[in-house]
Amino acid sequence: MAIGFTYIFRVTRVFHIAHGGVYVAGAVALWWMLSKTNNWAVAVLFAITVTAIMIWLIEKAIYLPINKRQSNQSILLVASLGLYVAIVNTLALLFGNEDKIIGNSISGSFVIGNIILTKVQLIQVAFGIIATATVTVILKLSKSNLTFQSISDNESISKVLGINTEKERLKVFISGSMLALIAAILKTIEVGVNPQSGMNITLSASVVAILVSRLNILLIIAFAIALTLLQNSVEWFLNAQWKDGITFLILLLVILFRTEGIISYNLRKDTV
Amino acid sequence: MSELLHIENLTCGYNSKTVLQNISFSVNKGEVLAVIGQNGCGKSTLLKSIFQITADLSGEISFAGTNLMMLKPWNIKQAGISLFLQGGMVFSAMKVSEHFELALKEKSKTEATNILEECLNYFPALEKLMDKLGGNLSGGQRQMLSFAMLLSQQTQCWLLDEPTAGLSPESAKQAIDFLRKMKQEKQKTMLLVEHNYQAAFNLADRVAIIKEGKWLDGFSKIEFQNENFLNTHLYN
Repeated sequence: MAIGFTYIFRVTRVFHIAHGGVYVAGAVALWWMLSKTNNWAVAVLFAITVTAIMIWLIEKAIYLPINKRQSNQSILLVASLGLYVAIVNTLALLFGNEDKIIGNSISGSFVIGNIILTKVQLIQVAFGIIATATVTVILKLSKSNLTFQSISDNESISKVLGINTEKERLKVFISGSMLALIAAILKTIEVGVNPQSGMNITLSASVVAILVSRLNILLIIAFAIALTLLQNSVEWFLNAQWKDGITFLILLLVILFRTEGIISYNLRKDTV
Repeated sequence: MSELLHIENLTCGYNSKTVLQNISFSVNKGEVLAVIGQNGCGKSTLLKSIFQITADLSGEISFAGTNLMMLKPWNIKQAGISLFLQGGMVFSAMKVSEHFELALKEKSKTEATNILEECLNYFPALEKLMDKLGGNLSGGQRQMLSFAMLLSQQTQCWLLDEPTAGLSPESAKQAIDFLRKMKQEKQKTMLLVEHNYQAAFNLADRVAIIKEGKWLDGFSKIEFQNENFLNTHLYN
């Protein structure tokens, strides 16, 4: 979720709050098709199609036209927030607000000292590693990271150098959304999904996107894991209510003292 | 000389504000047309419009017989035009080596090696800067890298937006010398927007003036090298 959000934010400059809406829509699409067909392959394919069409429409009908008008970034943020609300409300209207649980046969757990790991959690870790490794290899082989870095750095120069920025933006939105879909499916298998469950995970991903200003998957993963550990430690030692408070306190401190993020490039002051 | 770039009744601007209206001119193959005018008269907007970066425009723009009006910037580059943006073509967070890697991404290995060699022949100092980030280069180094990026595009026509802006007199001279070499050795066609009028006059075959949104075209070398040229046509 953090990788997708960070890439989308850094490359397109869209603070894509609607990522949470796409996450939930993908999970609900899977749950709905699974309840109709009881076939995992069909349900996953359906969820992929719904997610891809949804993000394609969002980019073509909303983000890209606003970007072409060279509007203020805050307009994109408001548009994204509006989209998130529209997606969540539509899902709630169509499928109800309650948790949608997928009945699965993956049960059982492993106990290591005081820690209990369920099989579903281990599957989540395995899929997370496979998805991340796949994305890393694809980016490396296609040299896409260099293209994304250039657009993130300066979209006008990228265009002038012959880069089809519209195509690259779409690539980032679709691949970022597919990563969100993987996260959504894995989470839904574990605890189910409801229309509101996309916001918290998107806000955590957005904190990582602000902390790491480089397009480096390993750094993004390291920060995402550190943030999750911190959130869980706060929940464990203090109170669950403090979890989000601590996350956003860190974000506030970074914005106040290192606007360019914790991990950024050390550049001449006149070019920053 | 044959006509390469042709502009007919071009009206352009931004944010619904018209900057240039009904402008028509053409640039011949291998020719350098310098465009001068006072701040805010629309010189940069003209170049961005030809490259389809400006949204509000109408009229006709053709290059070697190809209509550019329906094309996107990346297609225009493929058609054979490059735009040199004011301030240079340097990515702050990318190494110099990554600039070349990006610019030559679509080329074959042999082709990319040859182009890189050619760029380094013109700008040998870049070889020692390969591991440096674009954002950490000095003004002169940025300019070298920008010209190398331009050269690596292998395009026939260059739209140059203030290539000497912000440079020291020495670096500005080197920039003009490079452009002159490109004109003589590679017969590059250039549409040059320049605030440094003397630099522009040194390089140009023809000069055009944009004044109060109007296009005054076709001043020959004899005319613009006259010492009263600017007073007569631009400042009065």
